[in-house]
Amino acid sequence: MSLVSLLFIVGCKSKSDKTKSDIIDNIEVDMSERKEDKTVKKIFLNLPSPIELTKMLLAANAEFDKELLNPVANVDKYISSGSLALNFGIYGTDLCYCRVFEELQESISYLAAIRNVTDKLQIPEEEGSNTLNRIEESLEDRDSIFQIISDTYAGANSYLKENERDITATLILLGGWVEGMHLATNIKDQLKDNSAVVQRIAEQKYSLENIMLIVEQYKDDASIALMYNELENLSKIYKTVGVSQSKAVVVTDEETGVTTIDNKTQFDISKDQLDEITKLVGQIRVKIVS
Amino acid sequence: MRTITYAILTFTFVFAFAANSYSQCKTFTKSKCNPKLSPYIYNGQLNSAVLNEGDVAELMLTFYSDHDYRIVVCAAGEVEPVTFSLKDNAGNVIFSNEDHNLVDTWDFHTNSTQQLRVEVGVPEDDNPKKQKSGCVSILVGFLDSGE
Repeated sequence: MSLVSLLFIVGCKSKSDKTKSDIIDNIEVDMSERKEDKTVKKIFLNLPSPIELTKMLLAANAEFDKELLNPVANVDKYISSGSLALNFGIYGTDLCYCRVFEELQESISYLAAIRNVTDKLQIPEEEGSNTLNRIEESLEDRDSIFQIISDTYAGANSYLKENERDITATLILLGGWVEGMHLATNIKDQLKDNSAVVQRIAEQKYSLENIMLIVEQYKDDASIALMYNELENLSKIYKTVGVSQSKAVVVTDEETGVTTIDNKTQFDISKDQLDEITKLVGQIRVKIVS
Repeated sequence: MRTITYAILTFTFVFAFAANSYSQCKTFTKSKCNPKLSPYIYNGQLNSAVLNEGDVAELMLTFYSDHDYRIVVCAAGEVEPVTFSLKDNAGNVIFSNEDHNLVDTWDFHTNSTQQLRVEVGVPEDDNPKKQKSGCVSILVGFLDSGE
């Protein structure tokens, strides 16, 4: 991804031409070499949903550990927009973790914390809190709960972008990713067989590449600047995590009709690398939740 | 003074147009594209833009092993249908909707974790006098396997 050269805004979320894009999952890249044929190339960078990561922790037979979460009582400590956005992400992942582990009472507490944060961030009810009411109504319905959590993120994400609060949208996603990493790096030490969790931590190499492309734009922002050195160090460690991948083949099962991208990816991560990643993630998280 | 006034008016017009375009794109995505993800769970990240014919957009995302995903590429009005393909890190084409009647969704299972690129293009037509333009959204959903 060395192709990010010059960022500019085009399209439906742009407020002016040729200005810097501020969106975590939506970076537009000026492919200057393609200007001659008037082709515009836009690149969106996404992060996996925290639901996917927390579900993996359950599948790895981890026990629910409340001590790992950011206490909801901390919510009153967060005043600045940056701090609120980062902890929106933290609490969002904590909510996913609680719900995945069927901790309904805890889920309600984190729901309240998120509502508090969305109010302080002045995200309108129809985009944030109103969706949260649906969670309360269907808290025991596993099938719909994840959909509602996703809708909440989506509503906040699109509202913030629409209102040129792209950095806030960025910080929410960053906070959510950091909390997922915090849970995974701590839970790995509690498991007899932690290979699945270690594998998932190693796989964050790709997500961190996306994150670094995004935060690079905002390194002067106070909230990002606070943790930029640690993120850079984390990136340096992840660059040393080995990955090899065989060529993908698409196979469709004639009976089930399921199409599979069939290939193998091997990540090589050492204990020293894991320890360093755990340490840096811890340092970043402390700065966010304190 | 007239120059300044003109600049302000121009800026106001451009700003209002862009904001309105974004709002329309958001509304279009919410009403026309999001329902196509069901029963997959939306990853919650909006990837929408107004594209002109000939424009290209890309989405980069990590797809985890042993998951089921749906990609929806949704285009409004005159830019519909758009082409899209899925490529691996080495640029190998894994899927192209041009081989499948320009479908706007693709469901797949992953055997290993990988970073994939969804590349979307608005085909150019033969009319040089009229520039086609419209909202294009790329949405990703995953299936709750009930782990």
